[in-house]
Amino acid sequence: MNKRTLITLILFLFYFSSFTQSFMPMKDIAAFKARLQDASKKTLTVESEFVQEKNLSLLSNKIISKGYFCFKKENKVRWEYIQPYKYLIIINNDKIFIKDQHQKKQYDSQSNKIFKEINNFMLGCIQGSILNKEKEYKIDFFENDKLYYVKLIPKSEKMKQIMSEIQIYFDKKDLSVSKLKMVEDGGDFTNIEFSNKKLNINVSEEKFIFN
Amino acid sequence: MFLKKNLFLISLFSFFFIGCSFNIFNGYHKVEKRTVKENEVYSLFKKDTGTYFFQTSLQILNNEISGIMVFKPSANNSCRVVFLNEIGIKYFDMDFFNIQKNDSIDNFKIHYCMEALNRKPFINMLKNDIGLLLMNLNKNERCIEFSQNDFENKILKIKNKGEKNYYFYNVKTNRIKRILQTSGILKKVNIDFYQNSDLFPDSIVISHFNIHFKMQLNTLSKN
Repeated sequence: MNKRTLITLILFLFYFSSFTQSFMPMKDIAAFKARLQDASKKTLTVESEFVQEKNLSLLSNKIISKGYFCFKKENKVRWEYIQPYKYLIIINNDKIFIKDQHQKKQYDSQSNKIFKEINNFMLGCIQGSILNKEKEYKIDFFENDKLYYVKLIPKSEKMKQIMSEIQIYFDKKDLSVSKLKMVEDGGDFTNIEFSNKKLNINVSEEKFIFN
Repeated sequence: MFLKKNLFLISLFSFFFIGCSFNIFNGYHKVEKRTVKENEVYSLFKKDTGTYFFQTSLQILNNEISGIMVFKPSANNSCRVVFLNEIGIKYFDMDFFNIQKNDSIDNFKIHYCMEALNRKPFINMLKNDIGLLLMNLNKNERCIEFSQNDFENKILKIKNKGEKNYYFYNVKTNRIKRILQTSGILKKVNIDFYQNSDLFPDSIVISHFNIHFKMQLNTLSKN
């Protein structure tokens, strides 16, 4: 083993040991759940930027997308992708609107049940309500100085086929979601990092209008 | 009365058959039976030419899904095709092997397919349609050539098991413009390639004649 390989190995081990040490098992899970439930009740709107990274084993580079996320209680969501291409998804209760560079489309959840299910899952993660589904997931709780980290492993074979693990990172200050990682069975994963989050600001209804 | 009835049926069938052939070969005439020449019509997805990203919408019956479809051709004429939704969740992940052969749809592997989509008729459609889109024509494969009067646009008709594939292409550019698949006397699948100036199409539309199935792929990038 030459010197350079040895240094690389030490740095690699240091990186991973520091990463694993950074999260410890959560001390008071009940208190965290109560805080999260309270925060979820009080959060009427969320506005945030996001960076989404899709890691596919067949690609050497990640697929990176950036955009704006907007949520308004009860069930209004706006995903606006601005890079690498413009793409807009609005969910307003049971209606879905998708606009890309070529066309606009509007349908109800009946004609796009898969999308509806995925959206419900994402909302469950962002609002934290997914943590109540202990029958469906094995849930482990961790924390460090700044974040709560919850790892969910699906119990049902059906869900396992879609995702083998879900990691949700909540900001300790306001219990908002900072990062969401969805790991697939084959190891491919999607990371969504939320930044510049604004909670309970006035979000115009126009953001959820289809036009 | 009997003759009148038969005459009516004969006329109807004649009209139907002639109508079918006119629809396919409108403006074209048969030139010759021959074999496919080298690089005469080639797949858009040649090996080791990078990765192709398409913004894709797929309509089947009353359902629609959309997202990004990734085509990654690799060595040995195989191509990995992955379809993800916008949020990154995979719909399906498939490998098409040996795409230079006309029987490419038999050389196929599903790495993953979301349960809601994992239905045999749907998978068979994907196998057939994406296989058709990826397919290269083998040199020396038997075909019938049809041509327009100016000989600029041609059609190669190739039999593929019980089906016939018609490749519409421009002779000067070797660009493929359309692929039509028929089964018996009926049109089955149509693939249109739309492009402005670049060699690669801006969009590709795959549609079926006998079922509401439409897949539109809009080119995002090629890395």
